[in-house]
Amino acid sequence: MSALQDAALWHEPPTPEQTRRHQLHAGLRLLARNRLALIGGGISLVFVLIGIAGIVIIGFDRFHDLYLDQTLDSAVILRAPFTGENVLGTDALGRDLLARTVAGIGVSIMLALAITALTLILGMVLGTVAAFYGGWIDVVISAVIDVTWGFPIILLAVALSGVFDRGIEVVILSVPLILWAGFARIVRGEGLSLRERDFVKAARAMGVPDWKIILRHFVPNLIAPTIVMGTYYIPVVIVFEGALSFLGLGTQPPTPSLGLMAAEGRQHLLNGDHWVVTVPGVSLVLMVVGFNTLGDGLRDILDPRLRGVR
Amino acid sequence: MTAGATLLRLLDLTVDLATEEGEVRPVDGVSLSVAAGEILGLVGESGCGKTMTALAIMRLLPEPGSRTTGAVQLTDRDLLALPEADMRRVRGPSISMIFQEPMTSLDPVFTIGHQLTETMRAHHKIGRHEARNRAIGILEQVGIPNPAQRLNDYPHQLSGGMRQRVMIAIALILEPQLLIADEPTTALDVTIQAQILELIDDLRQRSNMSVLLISHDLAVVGQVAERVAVMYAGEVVETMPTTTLFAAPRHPYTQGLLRCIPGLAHHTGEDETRLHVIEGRVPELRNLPPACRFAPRCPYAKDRCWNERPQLEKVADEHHLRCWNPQPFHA
Amino acid sequence: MPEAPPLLEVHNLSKRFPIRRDILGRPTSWLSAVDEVSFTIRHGETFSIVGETGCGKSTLGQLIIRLQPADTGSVLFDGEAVFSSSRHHLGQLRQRMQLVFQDPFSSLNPRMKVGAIVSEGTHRLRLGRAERRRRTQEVLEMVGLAHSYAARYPHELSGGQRQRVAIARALAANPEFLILDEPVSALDVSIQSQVLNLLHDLQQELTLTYLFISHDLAVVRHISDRVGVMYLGKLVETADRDELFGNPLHPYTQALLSAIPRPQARGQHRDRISLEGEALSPIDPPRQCRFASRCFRAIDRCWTEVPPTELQKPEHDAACFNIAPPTDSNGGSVMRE
Repeated sequence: MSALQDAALWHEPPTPEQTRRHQLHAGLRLLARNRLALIGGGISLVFVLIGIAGIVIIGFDRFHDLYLDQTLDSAVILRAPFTGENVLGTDALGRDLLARTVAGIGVSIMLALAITALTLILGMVLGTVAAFYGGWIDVVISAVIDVTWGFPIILLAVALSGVFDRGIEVVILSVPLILWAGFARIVRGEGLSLRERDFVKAARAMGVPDWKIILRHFVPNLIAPTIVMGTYYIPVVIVFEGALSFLGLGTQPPTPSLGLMAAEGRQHLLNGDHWVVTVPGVSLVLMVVGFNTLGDGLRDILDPRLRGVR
Repeated sequence: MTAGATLLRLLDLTVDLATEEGEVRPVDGVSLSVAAGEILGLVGESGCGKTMTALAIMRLLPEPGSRTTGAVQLTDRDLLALPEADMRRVRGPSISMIFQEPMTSLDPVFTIGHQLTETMRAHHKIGRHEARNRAIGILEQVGIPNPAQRLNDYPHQLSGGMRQRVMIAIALILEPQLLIADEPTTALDVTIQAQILELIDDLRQRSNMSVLLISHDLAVVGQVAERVAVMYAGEVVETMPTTTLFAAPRHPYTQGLLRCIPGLAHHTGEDETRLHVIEGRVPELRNLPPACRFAPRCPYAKDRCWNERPQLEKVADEHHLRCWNPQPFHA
Repeated sequence: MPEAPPLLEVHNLSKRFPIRRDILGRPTSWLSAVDEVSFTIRHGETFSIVGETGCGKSTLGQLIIRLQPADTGSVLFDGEAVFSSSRHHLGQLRQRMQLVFQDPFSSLNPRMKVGAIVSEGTHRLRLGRAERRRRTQEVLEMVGLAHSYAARYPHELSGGQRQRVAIARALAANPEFLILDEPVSALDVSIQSQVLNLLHDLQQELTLTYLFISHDLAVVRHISDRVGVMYLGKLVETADRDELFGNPLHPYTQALLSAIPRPQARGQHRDRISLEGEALSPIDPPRQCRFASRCFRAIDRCWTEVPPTELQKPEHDAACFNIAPPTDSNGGSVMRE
């Protein structure tokens, strides 16, 4: 009798090791086929690394000279890229653009990750609570979502800047205070369908406490939309931070920020000293394109249903 | 039963499908024939390839992604060799198909009258008025009360049984030579199921239409089919007249299936409280047993079943069997 | 077992769902899902509820364990009122009553391993980690799954194996009473018989009481001791299994039994009872017999009054104004030929 003839062999499902290997292969294949995700992931990774460098520069006083060092020496100010010792040139105050851009990316990445996390947590908690408990709780939360979702972020930022006298707090507060609503709506929708799934009903029938049901049955099944929405929010937050800083509501000088740098440099555009704007501007665009592409790719891999949905 | 001329003949029909996990073969060398005016039952459990066979006949499998080889002869034309434009003229007037879930196969935004007349007008040059009259006639034929009023209804306004009747009406309005019915009653209640089966049988008798009735339910097939083909893991393992299916099936899988059904177990004189069981589970297409595909679950498997692939061979009149160790059936 | 004491007593259970609301959110239209249903299940027996799609049989099961609140009526489990019990007490009752769902693909959380799924069933028992693990292994073994399955995810299992996991989860709490909502309908015939045998063996070993909900008459006939037939929210007939299949009294039961496919009878003209007419809508049903619109024996009274459930014979209830035994051509002999 050959090994194949062991009937039990054919009755058993594949072992966990086999399946895990199989899943890994399938995942890698998907990733390989999804060039978009790979390219986007590569660009995003580069920017995250630059961002870490930027955070380090901002975080330690002894690096501050790198991007804060000003001069009125006309030979040093507004120097074009690749013409002197400053690789990406200098701005109107003679500060090194490379260092400022790296620091600006650091600010962007840090804010983007923190604000996205805040947005996701707010949205997840409120969306899940609304879906799980239903009734008047759902009515109230849904009403708040509807009101919030239509509210312009810039308007809220202007209002908040009156309270906080501008600054980074405005960005940190205004963006998640509005953006959570979109995510909460998605979570609530998924949650409503989860609540009707038999495994949630089964847990309720067994008398499993609410918090355990939410933790065990809701949250793990909401991870895919969370990752997808997370990669969507990161570029959105980067753009908002840039816009608010450009308007003077966000990051305040002398802290570098891509939006602020573009705002400071725009008067020199007419003189032909375009790099003061294009260096931070192109960095911002590249970063946003990178994260968006990664988001699209991940969406395809994690949730085929959302393909092409924005 | 009078055996008419052969209408449909499948020769070594094979379907290869490209999936995420690589290429699989859900239909492997299926040869069958359906005579004019005959109902052939195609039975098997989920994943045995019966729906794939139907879609391959209709040439409705996704391309690229699938490859169909062998031959599908309708009278004397090989459908697999037809250009797509000609195939479109075959679907409807020559072969039509009804699906398991009537709600998803009807377009929700059009009235059923519109869907019926559009089908007709796509294939025949007939006027609006005549199309409407024919639509009323066919709805009456499938037993829908007040057909003239129903023409203006949307699918969601009808009950499940009525929807399935409308599906059948759409499939029949072009008077096809062959109707492929894929689990036509599985989504329906027993009282409605009985009516639909009777309807299909009536229509066959009236118009000499042939029917390929696909079902997982031996009792349903047994009620209307003259002959039955049993599929397992992509292969036909036994074909026989329906009377033989219930009286003297030879393949251990067919016998096992028959004994599993609670209603029928009572006739076999077995212990009433326990049902017959086929051990194990259907093999995965990616990982098929080496020779006979049923061997791992077969209580009568011998060495040869693991080493040499059995072929479908004639064992009696109209009785074909793919087995190295056929068993007598103890009813 | 007529002498066994009752374990579950259901009295006049009703549930309506609001369909339409007016501008102030007050319901103006109701779907009557379960209407004044009463029955008793005895210790150790299998009581089946059989009926077609939308007759309210699944809702009934969920009302009994208070997964949904009932509008009116009461449920006594082992003499204790289920609906009026406190949250804490309900928890204890729920440990003794468990529910198994129809679809083993949606009743198991795809992100949890089998071991975690099953051990969730033990959570009322307040076991330590090691004991819980042992209990999980024990029930997995009871349903015929090897220990190694605890490390698998549901998607790695076949339909039959998943349903075994769902049954193991229900058993983990060490219940006395299982509500089985179409537990084999999603399974292939060859797998269906494995699971039915398993349910039978478990009932013997653990002296369980079953409420078996199904649309499949052949399965119901196989597994039940007593059977109730539901039509549009109403329990129209209740009797001993052999009595119900052999001597159905309600015209709906008679029609249902005559509609069972009879493979051996192909070609012969069947004396099937054909149900003409449209089913009554369960939305705001008028006060009449709900089956009257399709009934072949309806009389005037059926259109104006709701027929009460009455004892027609010992151990045989039916709700009908025009009771008649099946004629030779269409009724009870159907399944015995």
